[in-house]
Amino acid sequence: MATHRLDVLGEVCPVPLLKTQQICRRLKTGDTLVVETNFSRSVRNILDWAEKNRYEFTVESTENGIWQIFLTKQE
Amino acid sequence: MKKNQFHFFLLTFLAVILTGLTLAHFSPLKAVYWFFGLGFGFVIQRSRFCFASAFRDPILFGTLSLTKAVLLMLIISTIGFAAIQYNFFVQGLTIPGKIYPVGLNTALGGFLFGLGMILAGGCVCSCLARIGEGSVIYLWTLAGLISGSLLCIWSFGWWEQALPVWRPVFFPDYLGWGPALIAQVTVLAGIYFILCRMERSSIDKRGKVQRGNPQT
Repeated sequence: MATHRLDVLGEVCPVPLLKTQQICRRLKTGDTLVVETNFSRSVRNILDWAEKNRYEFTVESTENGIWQIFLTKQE
Repeated sequence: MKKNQFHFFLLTFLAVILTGLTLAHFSPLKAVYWFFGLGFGFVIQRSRFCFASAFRDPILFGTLSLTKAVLLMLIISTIGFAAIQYNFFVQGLTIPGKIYPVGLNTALGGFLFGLGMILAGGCVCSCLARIGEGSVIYLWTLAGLISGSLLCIWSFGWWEQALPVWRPVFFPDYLGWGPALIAQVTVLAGIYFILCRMERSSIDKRGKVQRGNPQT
């Protein structure tokens, strides 16, 4: 049940999702990855991908134009 | 901390209305352009619509939602543009639209544009939306966009002469208006349904793999 963090502030599409995928491959069931991004299109990209690949996800807008995405690996 | 930006919104909103009214006073059509432009900008920003994603994501990530959105947009605009063009045709006027010859210059231009789009991380309209959101780095993209476009306009004639070009093909000239419209919409809708099926089958397959190997 580890929590990993990924800071991709300032990175543009498609880098945030590519890095998210890299880390997600190493996650174990129940592990959580917190992705922080300021690229609005990437938020949608990551959520689309998470939904398709069965990750549990929530998204939170922490500051103006900054989002935190919580991805939890499902069984 | 999230800052409340309501007063900025109010100021901008007032400026927008005032600019619209001023434009309407001098040239009503410009006011229409102004409000339509702002409307398009709003939709592009809120929907996070992005042509770069539509063409890149199916290959890179296997997600098709934006590709399907682009196809829907093409279907709707095909019908809309056909209506506008037919209206001009019936009145015996020159048909508006980008009816240009196809040639190697088209393919080369498409390749260069695609390269720029991927490097910039967005298509032209989403880059403009990023600037509107306040992303300073995208001002560089805008500078590149303007200088690239100027370079293209300046050298356009040369490309058409230097590379083989076929004469323009306008489907209604060959098929008639009705069949041309039906053919184009059918092909686009066909691609849309193929993508829907691909999306569903990829999810089914993933589901089966996951059920078979719970440890992965």
